[in-house]
Amino acid sequence: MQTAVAAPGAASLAAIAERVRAEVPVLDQRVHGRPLVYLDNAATSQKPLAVLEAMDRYYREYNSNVHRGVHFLSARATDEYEAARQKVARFVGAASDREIVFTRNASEAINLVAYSWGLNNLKPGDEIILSVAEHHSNLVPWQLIAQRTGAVLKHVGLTPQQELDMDHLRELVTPRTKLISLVHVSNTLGCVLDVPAVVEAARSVGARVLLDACQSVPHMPLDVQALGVDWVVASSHKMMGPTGIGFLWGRYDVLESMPPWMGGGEMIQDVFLDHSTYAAPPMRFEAGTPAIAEAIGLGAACDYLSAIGMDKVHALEEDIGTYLYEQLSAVEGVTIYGPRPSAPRGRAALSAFNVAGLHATDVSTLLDNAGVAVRSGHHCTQPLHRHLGINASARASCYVYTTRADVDAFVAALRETIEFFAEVGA
Amino acid sequence: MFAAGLRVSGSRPGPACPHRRSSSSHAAHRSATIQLGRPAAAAAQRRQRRQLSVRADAHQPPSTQQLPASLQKIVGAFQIVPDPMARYKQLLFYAAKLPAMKADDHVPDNKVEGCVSQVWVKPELREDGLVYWTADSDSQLTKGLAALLVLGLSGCTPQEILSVQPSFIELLGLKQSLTPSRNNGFLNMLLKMQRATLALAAAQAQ
Repeated sequence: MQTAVAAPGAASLAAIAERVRAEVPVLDQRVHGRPLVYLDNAATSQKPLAVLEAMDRYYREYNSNVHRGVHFLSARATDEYEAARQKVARFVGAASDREIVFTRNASEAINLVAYSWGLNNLKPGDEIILSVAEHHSNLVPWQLIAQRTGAVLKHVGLTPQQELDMDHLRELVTPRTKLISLVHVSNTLGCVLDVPAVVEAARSVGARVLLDACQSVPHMPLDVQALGVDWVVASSHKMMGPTGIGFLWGRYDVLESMPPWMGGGEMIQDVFLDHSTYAAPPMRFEAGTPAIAEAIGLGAACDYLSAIGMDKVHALEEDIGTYLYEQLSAVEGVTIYGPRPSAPRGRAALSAFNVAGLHATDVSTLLDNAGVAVRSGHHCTQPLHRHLGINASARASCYVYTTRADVDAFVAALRETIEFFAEVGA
Repeated sequence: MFAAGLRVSGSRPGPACPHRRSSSSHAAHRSATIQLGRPAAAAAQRRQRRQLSVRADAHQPPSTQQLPASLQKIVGAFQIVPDPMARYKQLLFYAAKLPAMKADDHVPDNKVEGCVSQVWVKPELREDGLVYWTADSDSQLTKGLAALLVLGLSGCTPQEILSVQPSFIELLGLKQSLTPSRNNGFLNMLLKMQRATLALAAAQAQ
């Protein structure tokens, strides 16, 4: 199976996965009497001790509100909170930490752009280009904004290989196009966006570009400046950080041009009874006491992943993702959605699939009984499932701690599940 | 999701009707219902609504419930099966036993909202004052759960159906969660059936 060239690399990558695994406590348990095989990483990732300890330390040693007090604890909390912002900025290659806005999650980051930039810049007849493969969080905010502004939504379709169709995108772009907002790596198809083609199409008409990078930031090296887009959103909990925090990166001049969305403490310069002046970005967009422990946890996750090296994380995932795809596609009756791993831009280490004649929920229920955690349903991409002509799919998704043993256990349990249903005659 | 909205704590429901009523008591019950004037019907409806709202309190210990005899029989059949896979197998046998639902009945009105799989249930209140069910699902395991409810609750009075607590599912040993959630197929199915029952009973009381 292994080629002479790939083998040594694969072995050292597997050693990384084993090492990380030992540092993620939740993975070491039995579920329904079987060792846990956690393959729902596209929904959320598990957390290493380093992240748990950073959050614990904040509450135990220096819990205090940020940007307010002059006392010792507040100063330390502020330092750590802002250090986390710097870590995120470095992690994604931002020009400055002033370009990182902490949000509750990626959905809130998209809503921030929609309500701040969208409401103030879109006019009736202006066009927003999305795709049929978007997560609901990159569809619904724009539907709401389109209703309010009279802007028109257009959707990029798929190629026969089930990647976003860049020829179709170029056809959709007109002088009325003001925004192209697309998923960098699809959480269902696993396909990787041709970002240069998107940026070129957008620049030809002066449109802005937002990239939903929830499934790319955790898994590959990313340089937001090199991408040439205007905004990038991502969430912490998919990259070994805690839930309750995500971030928006925006080019500073773009963020500076955006009015505040939510009002409250933190985001102001001076407040009078009838009006206020606002702080510069990023504080302008962070109303109220932020999720301090969570930001610090996210910073620790950036440190943790950077210490491994995002190039190594990506190489490891390419290896395990290809292995998953090959093993899964060898199971009779299985259809995997999205491009093959040999596609020019590859595919993410996840496989959304269906087994002929079986409902995804039935498959994942019996997999759970065997200790295997996979997602089933529409993965918040209902329009994509409709586009593919299916109601639901199951999805196995890997991360840096996923081993070949995990994939083997999953595929064995899947074969047992299929046999079980065949025996019963369902 | 609506399940969460229905959740109330505090008062326990009145006793369930454990056994088949005699036909004469059915007749008496029906005539009593028919004789209810409008205000009385409204009061009965309010009472039933209150009871339905308590239905969603899934955490009543399952052992304290008195189930309709037909449902109790199914529970008993599961309890003698030792391991989880055999219980799933049994569930699939129930799915196979479920009478086919008419194609015309696969309509939004009968659809159980908030299931990952597609599920339809339809009640029919017959002359005998009892409710009869049909159901279908594109998921085999969900269809099995639907079959349990269809077979266990067909031929019951509205009152018996409204008295069923979701916690009885724990007795089946299927590790079925009872947390109100948008993807809790079983809980949403039972609540849909109880709502439909309430609507039928209320319509009859008018």
